Amino acid sequence: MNINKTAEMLLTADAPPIRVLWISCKNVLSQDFDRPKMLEAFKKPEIIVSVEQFFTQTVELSDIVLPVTTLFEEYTINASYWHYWLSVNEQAIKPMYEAKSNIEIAAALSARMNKLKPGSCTFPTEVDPRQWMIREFNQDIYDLFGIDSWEDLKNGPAKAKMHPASWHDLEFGTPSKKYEFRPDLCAEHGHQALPEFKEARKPYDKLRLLTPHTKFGIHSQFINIDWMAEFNKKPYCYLHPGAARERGISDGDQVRVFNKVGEVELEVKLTENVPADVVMMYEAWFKNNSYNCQSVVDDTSSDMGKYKTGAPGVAIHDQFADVAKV
Amino acid sequence: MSEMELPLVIFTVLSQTAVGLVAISAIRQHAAEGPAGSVRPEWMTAALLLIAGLVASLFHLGHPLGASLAIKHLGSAWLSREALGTGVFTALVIAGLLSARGRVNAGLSFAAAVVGLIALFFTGMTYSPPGFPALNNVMPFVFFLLTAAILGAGFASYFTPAEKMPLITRILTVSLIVGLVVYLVVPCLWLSGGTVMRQTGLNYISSPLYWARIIAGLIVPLLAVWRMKTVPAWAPVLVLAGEIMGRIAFFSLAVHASANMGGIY
Amino acid sequence: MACKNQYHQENGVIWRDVYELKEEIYPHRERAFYSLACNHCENPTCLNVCPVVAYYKRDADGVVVHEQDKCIGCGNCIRSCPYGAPRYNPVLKRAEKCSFCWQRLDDGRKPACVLGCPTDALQIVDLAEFDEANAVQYPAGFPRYPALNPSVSFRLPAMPKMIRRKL
Ligand code: SF4
Ligand code: SF4
Repeated sequence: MNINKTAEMLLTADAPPIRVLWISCKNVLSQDFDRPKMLEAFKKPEIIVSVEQFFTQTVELSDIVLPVTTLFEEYTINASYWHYWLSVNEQAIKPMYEAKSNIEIAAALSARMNKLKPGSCTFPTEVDPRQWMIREFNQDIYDLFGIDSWEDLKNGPAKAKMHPASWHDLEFGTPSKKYEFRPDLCAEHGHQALPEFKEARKPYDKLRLLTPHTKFGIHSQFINIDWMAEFNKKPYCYLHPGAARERGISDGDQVRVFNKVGEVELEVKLTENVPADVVMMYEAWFKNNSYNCQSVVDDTSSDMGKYKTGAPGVAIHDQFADVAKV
Repeated sequence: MSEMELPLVIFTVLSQTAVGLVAISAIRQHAAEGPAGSVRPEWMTAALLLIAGLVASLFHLGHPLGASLAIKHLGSAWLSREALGTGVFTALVIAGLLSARGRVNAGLSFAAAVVGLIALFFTGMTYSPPGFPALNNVMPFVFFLLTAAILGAGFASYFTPAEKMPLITRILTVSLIVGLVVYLVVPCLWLSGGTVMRQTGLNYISSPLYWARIIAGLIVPLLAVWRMKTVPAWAPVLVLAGEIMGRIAFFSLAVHASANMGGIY
Repeated sequence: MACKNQYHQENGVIWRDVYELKEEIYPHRERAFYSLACNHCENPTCLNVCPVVAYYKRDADGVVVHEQDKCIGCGNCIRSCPYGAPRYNPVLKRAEKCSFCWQRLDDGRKPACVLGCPTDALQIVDLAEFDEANAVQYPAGFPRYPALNPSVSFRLPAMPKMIRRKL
């Protein structure tokens, strides 16, 4: 299934239809595209189970919530989006109350499924989280991080032996290691080997809607933490003064950003940092605030992305909306 | 207005009333011919106002039990000097009250009045910090002096014999006129200052509290004493309400210098 | 946030804050900032007005230290400091402010903010030796209080060149 179209898949998959939704390591209602459609899709499964540490918007709509261990209660490996460091996370306390680690929960589920219908789940039925963590290492990882054993990480984190910038050695990441004007790789994956002009997505509303990352979080993470909120209290959208004038909007007004997908309400800041035909707002999940950019971003696929991630990406830069004063 | 400031409103208004009351009492007893008036009740009132004010002032401290330490920094902190000055003033007023035999001894009366005025000056310095550009000048002292004059004269009217009412009426009238002029002019002057001072001025002239105070606390009493040629019993109460409103405005409407960081000052 | 991460102040109590330069000073909104905390002034008004002598200034490096256990929470330093550095801690009912991480300094380390700044926008310099032609003490957007003589110096942001597409 296309992981970038979760809502669509939930609604339309029919061979077989999705009857149970089991959510782990993800806050679907906050992170996934087209939130209004997701709300619809969540009505469809007969049962929804969430494995979560926090009372997220997804948890709110789940039938069963399984408490999962925090970093303090489990063995695991920490890698990151932000940097090239790898560290081992040692268990500091025994899991509190009924909390289990993600893979223990998965193993218990597998055991149950196999009991009901032998062979129905290939996941191991018994795991030791620490052993599981050790199995995540292999020689390639050891080489990449310059360590002999995972136990080396007990002395401190290790940094990947890779350069942070592409082309630092004047070699491209292509098969020929050169710039390819006619990449066969492209042709093999359903594109034209020689680039040709393709019409962009047709605007379906007056302004282009941009929803980039914020410096205060990673999409639905961190922004809602009290001490982060201290520096970033609420969402804003950014509009060119000219676009605002046409709409009778002044700086600091409460506005609606709306399109065929849905709408959000937030405060506007006027600035020439954005062009006159753009409205910009950041991704977020704020505490006690229903704002979510995915309420106005649809899940239309972009033309590329499948080669790297298995599913085409979403045309997040070809989204459109209009703004009006509340 | 934050909770921290209501105690200061009460403390400053009440203690300044006491300063005015004692100063006017000293003048009335010893610088004008005729009967002294009800001096003991008057000094008793001053003492009670001071004690009430001092108790109120404790509530603006996060740690009221540490209040006695507040005189540790006489070398540079006006607040320490204010605490000491107000303490000595209170002691003198109580001494005057206890020793009063129809009148309070002239030396003690004037000593108390002078110490009271010095303490009032210290209070003025305490509340004119660099953090509030509109107030970082002599104005808080002037405001406090006006409070002492207006409320001192107003309350003194309760203890003044008929023969001396014209004197008290004159003091109150003049104080109210000066107060009216000062309170109308100062916010306008602030408007010509930098961003923060100007914002303070704008806060004042757009605040109902400010205008209520001008009308109820200054204009109405002024018209009353002017036309009645005496101080009606209700006037001091109205004046007190006006001063309290004015002091709430003082503590809540001034804009702090740090409010405009990143903008032009 | 490095400061918050180091000290985990009470909610609402911010020692170091980032102020955006208004467009009257820098032409792009939210594109230039001052990161400001206590300036450890040469003549600190916080110290001067504190009735209980809860502040002292270190001889060696001039760091203005607030001794919170001495503070009685009168709020005087908070009103006085024009830079808004001392803040009221509503839980302890006492003031507090940037310590310049003096404990870290004494241990030969940098303050958390200096260490955490990814663009090296914050640096410790010895003002007695710092002599940079383009650095100023009072840039636009920073209150000017010569009587306090704040121990800071700013390198002014370069004005951007604007390139706009025609619409
Ligand atoms: S900036 Fe404020 S708190 Fe810091 S030393 Fe100067 S006066 Fe004191
Ligand atoms: S709040 Fe504390 S540190 Fe500040 S002036 Fe008052 S007693 Fe001193």
